[in-house]
Amino acid sequence: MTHSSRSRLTRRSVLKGGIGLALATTALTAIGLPVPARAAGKKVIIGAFADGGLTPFKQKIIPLAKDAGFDIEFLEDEYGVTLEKWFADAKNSAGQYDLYLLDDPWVPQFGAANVLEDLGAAGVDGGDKDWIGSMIDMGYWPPQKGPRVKGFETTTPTLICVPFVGDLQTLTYRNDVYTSGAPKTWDEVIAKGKEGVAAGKIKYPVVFRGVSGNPIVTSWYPVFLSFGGSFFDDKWNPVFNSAQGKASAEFFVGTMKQNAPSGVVEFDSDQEGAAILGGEAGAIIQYSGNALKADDPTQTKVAGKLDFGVVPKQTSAIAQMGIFIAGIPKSAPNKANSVEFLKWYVSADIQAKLSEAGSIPVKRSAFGIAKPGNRLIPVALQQLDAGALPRPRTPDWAKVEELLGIELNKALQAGSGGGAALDNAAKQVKDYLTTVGYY
Amino acid sequence: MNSRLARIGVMSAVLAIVLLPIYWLVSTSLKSNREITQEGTLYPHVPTLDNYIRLFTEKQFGAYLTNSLVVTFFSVAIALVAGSMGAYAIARFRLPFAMERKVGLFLLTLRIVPPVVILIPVYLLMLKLGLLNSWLGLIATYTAFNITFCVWMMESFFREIPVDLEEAAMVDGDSRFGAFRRITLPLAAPGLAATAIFAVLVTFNEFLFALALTATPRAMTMPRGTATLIGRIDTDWASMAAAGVIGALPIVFFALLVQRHLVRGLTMGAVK
Repeated sequence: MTHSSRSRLTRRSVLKGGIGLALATTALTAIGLPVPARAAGKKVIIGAFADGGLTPFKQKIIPLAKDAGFDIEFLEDEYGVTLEKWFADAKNSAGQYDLYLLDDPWVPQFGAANVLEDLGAAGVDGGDKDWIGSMIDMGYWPPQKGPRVKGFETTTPTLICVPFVGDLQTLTYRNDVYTSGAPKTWDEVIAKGKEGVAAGKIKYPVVFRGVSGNPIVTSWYPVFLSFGGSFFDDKWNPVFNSAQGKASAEFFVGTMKQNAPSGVVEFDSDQEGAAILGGEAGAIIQYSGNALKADDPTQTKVAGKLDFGVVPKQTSAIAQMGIFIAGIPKSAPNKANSVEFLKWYVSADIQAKLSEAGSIPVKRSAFGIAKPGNRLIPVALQQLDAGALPRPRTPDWAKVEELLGIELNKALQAGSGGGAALDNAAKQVKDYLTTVGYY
Repeated sequence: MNSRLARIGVMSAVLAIVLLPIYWLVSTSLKSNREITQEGTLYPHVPTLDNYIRLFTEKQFGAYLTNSLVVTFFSVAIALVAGSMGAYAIARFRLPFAMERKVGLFLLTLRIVPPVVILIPVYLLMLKLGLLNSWLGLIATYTAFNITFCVWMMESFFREIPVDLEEAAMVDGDSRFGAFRRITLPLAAPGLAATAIFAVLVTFNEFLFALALTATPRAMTMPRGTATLIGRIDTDWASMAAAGVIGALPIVFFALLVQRHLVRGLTMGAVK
């Protein structure tokens, strides 16, 4: 009896499971699997990290590319894994992608490893005056200007990447708190923000990211630049712990923290985004991916009350620039298609379409179109003209950022000691760069 | 009466603690991102199915789910077949110098080694074999892990089944393999079910190897696909919650399907 029962149930279970799996597979395949490539299309496999800044490209430009005969396969991945994944893909000639949409600080690492195609030799015109100069400069390895790392002192700069979507920090502020327009200085951000708090319009004058590593460094960077700081001298000696740098760090971990939400030490982009979009904070410096949500009532409780401006200054108003930048791996399976696609994409016509769609273009002419797709685009040009700097062009930037971020985070937790934090970080950075042969 | 009330109270509290994460997951999946990040509501004030729709229309979750189901089904099925035969051999045969125990120990090492240690070699192996981004690559990898697990689980179950039953069948003219297939294996069915459940759970939820071995929707599994919702500066929490609900459903259905076997499996063999 028992044996019979076991046998019958086992078969039924297997049959049930098999039939269920087959039905589910069939149904899900029908509704979810990627559409097979068109035989006549010029296949291009693009690898990208997930980011709101690419939404206009996905929604508006990919259909145009398909109309132009390209068969685009757009593969998104989580930001935290893409660098390692693509670098392994390129180093091992795995040939899984035709185009990487890199974050610009990654260019030196790929450049030093010599795994990307020479796009200048492939016919992309890096000398076109229509490029935003600071953006096309980031596509060269070694850099055309500024210090170079060892081993590349005399190497001729090669265009290995081309700017794809512009992105940089700008100020987002509450127009009912800063009623005279964007605050011009950090002092104004704090003073008028406090008035906004007293009037019950907001809870905190500012909000920023305090999490150790890249987040806190990214938030501190424009403050540091606006105080007149610079990172390295031309021999790669750390100079960020100068008097200006220390003043910016003390202001950041002291005054700014006192006027930010109490949990700001633990804040990353989600929390700072919620604070400004939820109506609690008066001002924030952020990249375009989050700024683009300011006019969307499904994303913010204060639509209509958020405006954009150039970052505040102490001595100057300089933002951090970080763009999406495209490189073709030497192992790309459809290399010729990728080159053709890039030339098509960076043409003035398509860049104008990108601007209309709402993304920050990489060609100056596209900033001048009659109807840019969002209010941030003209402000982005103002910021570019006022000043925007990329992160130092070294393959070791990620490590530098990590060391600096840890020390800044400790000082932020304490609410003081920003200057000492920079001294500690400078020593660690110097030791690290010595170890890897910079001097 | 008071003790009954106290029991009910304690049980209710335990139930609430157990169910809270599930409630929060389902509830979050029905909210907008704005409601999740800016309002922190206890229940969806404006319930929406947009998050689920977006997963299948924009995020290719149909493909991810299909990949997970196919990869899990085949790797567990192959592992159960091969693993149960291996376990039977270890349980029934004796090799010189007690090598059958050493074989078992050797197999166990694959479970002891932290997966991240062998991640890069496996990645390079799959790269050389041209099996990155393929079902076959994932199935081969997961099968290797699952076989060791199945051998160790099933060996204990087979040891519980009297060898006399097989010998009686062979006396009646059955072959060794026939006795294994017709007598021993059906008796070990509860053990197979228990083993299958654990193997399915581990395989369906596996993330590390899926992260390294897949990069496209052709082979990305559910956990791997869900990670693509984490952006550089923002995370689509609502869609992640919806993905969590969808990802849990196949496991729940599978567990319901084999739960009777599982209960019996827990009363015999290694998982007592």
